[in-house]
Amino acid sequence: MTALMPTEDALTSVHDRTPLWRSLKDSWRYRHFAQQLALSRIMASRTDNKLGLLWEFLNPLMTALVYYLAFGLVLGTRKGVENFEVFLLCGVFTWALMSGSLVECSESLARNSRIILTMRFPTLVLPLSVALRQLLTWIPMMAVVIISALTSGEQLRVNWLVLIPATLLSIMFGSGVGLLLAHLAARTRDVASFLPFTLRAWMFLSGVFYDPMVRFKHVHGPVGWFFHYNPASVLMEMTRGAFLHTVGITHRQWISVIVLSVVLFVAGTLTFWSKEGPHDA
Amino acid sequence: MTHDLPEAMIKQPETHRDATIDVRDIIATYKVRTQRGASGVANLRARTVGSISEVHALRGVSFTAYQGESIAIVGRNGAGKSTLLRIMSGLQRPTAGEVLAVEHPTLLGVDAALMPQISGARNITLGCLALGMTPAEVEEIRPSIIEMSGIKEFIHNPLNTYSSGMKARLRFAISTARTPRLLMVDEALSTGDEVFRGRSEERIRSVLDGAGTVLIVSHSMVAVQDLCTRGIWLHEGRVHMDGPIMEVSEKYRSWALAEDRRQRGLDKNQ
Repeated sequence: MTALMPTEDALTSVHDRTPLWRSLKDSWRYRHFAQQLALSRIMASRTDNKLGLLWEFLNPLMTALVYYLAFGLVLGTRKGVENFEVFLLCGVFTWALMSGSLVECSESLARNSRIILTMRFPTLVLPLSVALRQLLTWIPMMAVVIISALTSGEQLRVNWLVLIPATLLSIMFGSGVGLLLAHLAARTRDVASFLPFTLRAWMFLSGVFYDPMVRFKHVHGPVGWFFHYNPASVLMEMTRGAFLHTVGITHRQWISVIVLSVVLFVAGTLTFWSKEGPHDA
Repeated sequence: MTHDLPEAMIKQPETHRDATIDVRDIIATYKVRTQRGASGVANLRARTVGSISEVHALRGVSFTAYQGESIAIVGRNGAGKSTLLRIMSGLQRPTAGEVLAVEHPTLLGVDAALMPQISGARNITLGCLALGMTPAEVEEIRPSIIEMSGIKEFIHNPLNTYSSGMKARLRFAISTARTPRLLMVDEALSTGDEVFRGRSEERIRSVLDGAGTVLIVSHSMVAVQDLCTRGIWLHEGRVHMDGPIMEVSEKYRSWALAEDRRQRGLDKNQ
């Protein structure tokens, strides 16, 4: 058989792994695909609704309204919080950005299994498109917060620039965790079933509609430590700090959330990449 | 690599042409979760998550394809055709063996990545970008895709309003927009009318003219007979026959007829 083998140097294995730098370079080359995929997904997800794309930000706005009524008014978490409306909107929107990145990144392989099975492109493009999509829906949300801040008497300040790191860190932290879960989620649906409950518990503990740093100020030990450094809370407080004088985060909290976001993002990207390539039979 | 089945026959490849894809002793075994034992009382694990059993999809497949060759891969359902195609296109890793190719093959499957809720025009953009084209290249190639798929007046309608023939045409037009050197077609020719069949045959010939290779998977011989030069008959995960299309197709057809008769006979007896 070997005698009949043609010139082999031109042929390469179709199952070879792509090295990391190539994978990252390819992802950049496919950025227009990521962009179109993000846009198409937003369009596709709302075609059955009459209000269409408007739901992209009606959804978090309605969530904020429900929380305002249920927690702010009925349970009274509004008391003692300055400008509760802006406080609540910042909390809901930051949570939506962070958890949205997390959930969608974790589902990026499972949901796109058909595309992955029929087309060959760097799979890192999928989380890239998630991040873009989140960023696109984040812009109108921020417009709402800015309008409500200005109408409630807040002034335009340099502090608003803190929205830039708050946005980036929320996306990095969320997609980092999501990327770590993506391959597990593609193997078993249990992850997708379990995730909503975990996230809901986490959200209630993170203080979307109350200030955990104030409420649990006197809690010490690991529990107090959790309330102090919980990245979800810190990210929300960071966004709020842009508009409200009364809210701010300490240097230690800044460092903790930056380190955590960068480490999780890098670890998630590496994990995701390391399992890229053809599926095992 | 030899087959001791009576009618098996391997054509010796011509050595003066260059190979485009070389498939070497591919084995593919799936682990499948069955629900066997679901009625057992003792085995709780088997009752809740099922037991694992192995399916041997491919049991050692080897062949080499050459420039300008168009190969029909035929076989009954479950013979391993689709698994072989996915492995050859690099989308799935075999349990053992390797596939060497001149470039990454373009697989034209029945469920390529098109999004049902968005328009044909946007699907063209998305599909072409997924193939690695730049936005400028997409715009350059767009008219020829619209022309080839024949969906001009419906181009801005969402895909889920298209007929299955229209969808198949669009998919084929996108996948072959850039002439690949290795094109793999999964039963796509069975959908679409005569006009489209003519056009798709044109595209396949352009691949062959550009020193490429086309592999078509089908369980119908008739559809691919005119288009292919060589036939590979897969049976139970092995190459049962490999040779000139007319010989393979003749043998395959008479075997399929006999199989059919035998099974009907069994049905009658029951």
